[in-house]
Amino acid sequence: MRDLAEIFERFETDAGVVGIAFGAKETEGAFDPDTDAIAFIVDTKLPLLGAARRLEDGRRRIPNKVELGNRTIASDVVSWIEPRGTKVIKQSSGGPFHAGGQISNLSATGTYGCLVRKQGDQFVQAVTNRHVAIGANNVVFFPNASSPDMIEAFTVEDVDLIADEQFIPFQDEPNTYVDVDAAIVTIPQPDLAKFSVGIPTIGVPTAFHRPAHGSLADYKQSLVGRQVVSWSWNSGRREGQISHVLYTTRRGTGGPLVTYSFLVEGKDGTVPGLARDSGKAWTCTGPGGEVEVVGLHQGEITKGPTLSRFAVATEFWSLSELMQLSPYTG
Amino acid sequence: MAIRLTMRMSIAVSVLIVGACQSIEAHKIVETSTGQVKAIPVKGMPILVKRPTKAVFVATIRTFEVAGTATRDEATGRVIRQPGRTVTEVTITDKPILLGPVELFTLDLKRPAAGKIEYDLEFQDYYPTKISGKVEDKTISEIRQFAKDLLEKLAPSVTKQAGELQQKVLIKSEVKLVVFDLASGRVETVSNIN
Repeated sequence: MRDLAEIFERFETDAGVVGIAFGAKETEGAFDPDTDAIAFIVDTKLPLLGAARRLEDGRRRIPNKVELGNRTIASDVVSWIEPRGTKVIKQSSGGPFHAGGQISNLSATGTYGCLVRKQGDQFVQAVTNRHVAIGANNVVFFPNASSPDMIEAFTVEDVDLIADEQFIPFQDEPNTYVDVDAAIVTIPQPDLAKFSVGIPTIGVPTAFHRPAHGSLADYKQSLVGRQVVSWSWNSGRREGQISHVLYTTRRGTGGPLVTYSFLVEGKDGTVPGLARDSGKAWTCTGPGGEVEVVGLHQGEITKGPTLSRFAVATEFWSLSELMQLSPYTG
Repeated sequence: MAIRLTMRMSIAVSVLIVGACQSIEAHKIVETSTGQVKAIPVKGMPILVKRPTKAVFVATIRTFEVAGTATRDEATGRVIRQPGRTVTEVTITDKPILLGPVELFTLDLKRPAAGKIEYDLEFQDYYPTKISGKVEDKTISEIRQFAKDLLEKLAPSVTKQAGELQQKVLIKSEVKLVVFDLASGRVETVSNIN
């Protein structure tokens, strides 16, 4: 199967594409879950010029259809900039030590998504981003180093870029990596009682949502369109839906192609996350109504101060397989 | 100085001749004791040159406290801290401020027997004031590196270990002027800017 990454390489320069992803076709501002599309993520959609072979600024037009393996799939040009106005609602935390609470290193702060157990380790761990918890053997702080209630904690393990086939076996492309950006931090046993496993307004995660891993199409089908919700001490409750999978971009000229598991589009014009939300958990509702963690928030597609429609996240079930994690419910 | 002034006055009406030979020739116009005007050939091209005697660099020295790595108490899960350390990073301006008098010279630029002269000339009034070439660029680059090396020796530095992720906090930032004496090839002064 020709990879999304190859298509991205073909269009990134002369068509101004910042990333490419697999998802549902967007028509008049809404995604049609029944129509697959390759989404070309651009800054802004431009009018066509002349015989419609070029865009207004002279760049190459994205074709209506592209080949993906032996399939011909509709293309979609999607602006990452929030077009319908944004509602940014900051909420204060209900306390520093609940899931969705604050975690910091010496110079930056973020969020931890949930509490987990790691196979073979006797302690409870908090999951957050690697860019928050830094690498293994570093010291981090709940909620931050200057808080009077501060708890020092130890980063046990971290994962940065990993070969795509090690994370999602159905994808196996050379020089292509998944940006996992995850770390686990030990909750000191004497302090464990201070921590709450429940995420405010959401509940206690009891499972990790397991997507289909048979093929890219199956993976997309099991994730795209799913309604998701998150909560962090920084931005409060955020609702949205998974809009695309395998958002692919390039890290540095000539460097490896980097893929993020999925994109979340904020609901009703809200942005799906803010700075310092890094590490929060995206959750969905399981078949029995249980809270399932589906993703680990990494950030947003951003460029300067403009707010984004899309958050990027690491798919959590694959992460849990990689790091041997299971839910901790208290 | 008197000679220079005479030359500056007279060359205002000089003519540059670039002949078939490999040198550029100018004519100095002088007035004889009898009041006659006479053109005396001068080998080379007159040029006003800012003759730098000092190169001044602006350097920023930032000191970070780097957290030490830690281990975990396997009984309680608590952090066991390792000692931290400080790291100093020096950045220095790419191009120095060149200080020195402006003087008039004649330059005998040899033309290559074949090919082109690779000098760029800038003029002020009648005189070229700048000749840029590869030799000057290299000299500046070497001086800059010298100044950077010196500052790095003045401050303690720790080499980062490959693959190590460091948490560092800026604890001190200093801006310094480094004055480099081009004649002696030594740093003349290092002064703080507060």
